Amino acid sequence: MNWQTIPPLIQKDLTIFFRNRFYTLITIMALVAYIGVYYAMPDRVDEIIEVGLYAPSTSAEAAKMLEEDGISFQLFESEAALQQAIVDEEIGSGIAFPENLFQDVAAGRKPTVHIYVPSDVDNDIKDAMKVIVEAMTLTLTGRSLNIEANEVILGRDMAGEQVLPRNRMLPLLAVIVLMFETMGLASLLAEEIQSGTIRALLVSPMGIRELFAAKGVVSVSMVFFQVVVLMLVVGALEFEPLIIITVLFLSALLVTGIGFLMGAAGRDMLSVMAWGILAMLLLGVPSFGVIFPGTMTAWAKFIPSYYLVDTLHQVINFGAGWPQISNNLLLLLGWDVALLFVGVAVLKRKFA
Amino acid sequence: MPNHAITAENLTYRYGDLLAVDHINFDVAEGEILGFLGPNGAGKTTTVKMLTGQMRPKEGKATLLGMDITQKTEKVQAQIGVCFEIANLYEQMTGIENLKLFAQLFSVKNFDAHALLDRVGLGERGKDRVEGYSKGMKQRLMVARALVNSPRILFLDEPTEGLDPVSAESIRNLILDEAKKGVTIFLTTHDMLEADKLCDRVAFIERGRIAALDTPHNLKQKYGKRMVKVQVTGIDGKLENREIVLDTDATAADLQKLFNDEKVVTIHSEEASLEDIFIKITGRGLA
Repeated sequence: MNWQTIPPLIQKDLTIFFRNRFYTLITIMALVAYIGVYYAMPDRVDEIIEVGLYAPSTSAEAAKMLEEDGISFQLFESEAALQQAIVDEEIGSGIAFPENLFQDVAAGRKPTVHIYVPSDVDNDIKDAMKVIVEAMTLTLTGRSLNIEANEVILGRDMAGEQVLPRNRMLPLLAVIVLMFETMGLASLLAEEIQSGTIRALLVSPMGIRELFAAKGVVSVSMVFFQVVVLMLVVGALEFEPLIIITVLFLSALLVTGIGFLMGAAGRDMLSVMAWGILAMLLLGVPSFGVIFPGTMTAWAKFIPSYYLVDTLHQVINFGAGWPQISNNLLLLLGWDVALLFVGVAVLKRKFA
Repeated sequence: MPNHAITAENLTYRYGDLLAVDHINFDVAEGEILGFLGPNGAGKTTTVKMLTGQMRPKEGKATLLGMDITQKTEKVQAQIGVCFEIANLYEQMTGIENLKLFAQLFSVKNFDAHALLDRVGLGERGKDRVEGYSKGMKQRLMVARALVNSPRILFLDEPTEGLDPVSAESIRNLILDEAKKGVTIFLTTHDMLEADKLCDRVAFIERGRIAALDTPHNLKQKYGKRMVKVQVTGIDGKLENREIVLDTDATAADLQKLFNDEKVVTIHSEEASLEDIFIKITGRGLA
């Protein structure tokens, strides 16, 4: 190994990268944008459902007394005003009681209560609204349900400390930052192959191992630096910083292997971007399971980024430590070795 | 017997079933300029790739400066310079930065980029990014890059292709200067006139084989014929061409007869060109 050839190659790659205005701009803008997206996401979990209420036969004070844990009523003067507020998206749903509610109940008639929901609301919300209406009607008419509800929490009860939406978003942002930077570096690699500069390098005393070492150092350090900056700015390094740093480093190795593959597959920046977006979508899949709990399927574990996403999620959102995530790190390391090996092999064939 | 800077023994390369280089043998003496001539696809570039360690021969071997290129690739590469046909420079870097990068890769101590740029006529443009250079300037910078490590063997692939006459001439002068210093030069070119002007010997390569290898003079002697070309006025007043082959027993009589019988308008002697000889030997042109 001719070690002294590696520093000039690293310096060359960094010079070329930062002299390309597009790559420089994208690097800075993207980082700023991702941090902005993170802070634009809600920093609290809203556990109270606000429901519009039109209840002409009940006083405002009495209606307010119907509020339960997690439900808040916004009173409306008319049924039409309630409907308009839902159409205008000022409120998510509404209930309108009839004017002669008490008379109908007293007379043994079945009063009609209107539930107003937007057109795109799912069935779960509609069912929940019916339950609320039944409970309210029974309360208003002086009767109580003859059941006892027993709430059972599976896993740790996180009532009042649910995962913040922005922290659910964080693994996805990390994957995007890693992949975006890798695309820029893979473009440089593709251009180097296409322009033939790689041939000039390979007839110097520098061998192919030194070339891969230099490319690897540049790629890993660039993506690692960016994603660490992201984590630092959003405060994620406050949770088990050593684990976070380790998983980010392993992820930087992972995307470097992918970057080698993209560099070999692409001919120019556009084709590398096309491959890169495909890879980014695939690698992003596990993070959607964090954003939308319950949607993760078993095959997501075959996507290498799962182990980055799950580690970040477990550490930042559930306070996991080394014992809980060590398997993730080992599997991620395995993916690193496999992808770097394949990436180097494919690139070697490309140079031949 | 001169020391051989390059020796190729049964050098062979196949791309699948296609035999690109077919058991070729040649050697190049130290300080010699060898022209490697042939049409596109003849096997020139593949041969250069094998000689410079970019490709491993399927059969045979190449020895440069006494070392087998496949065994001592990096040691050999430290002592050779390669100038590629297509400009492969780092366009976002300046001329000086391009040269310095390669000087560092070759571990050249006290490297003077300015002096080298001056030699190729780019002294004033060294601090400019290469993306702003003309084709001729890029080609000169490529030659300069090949000289960064003061190589003992210089491989030049079409170094003057598509250049203006001034740039081409400056590169030819540089090649001759290097040869005078004892640098062995392996010149790949389509330009037969250039080869004739610069090369001590030329090799004609066709379909992966060396069809002829000798000095331009000997090739002309062996395969060419000297002649005089004469333009005369015909009976109807139109110009007609006549050719008289020189160096035969009948030459003097033929010339005498021509002057007696015809009205000579122009007359000039002509040697066979390398291109004529190439066509004669291989049966095809260089295009």
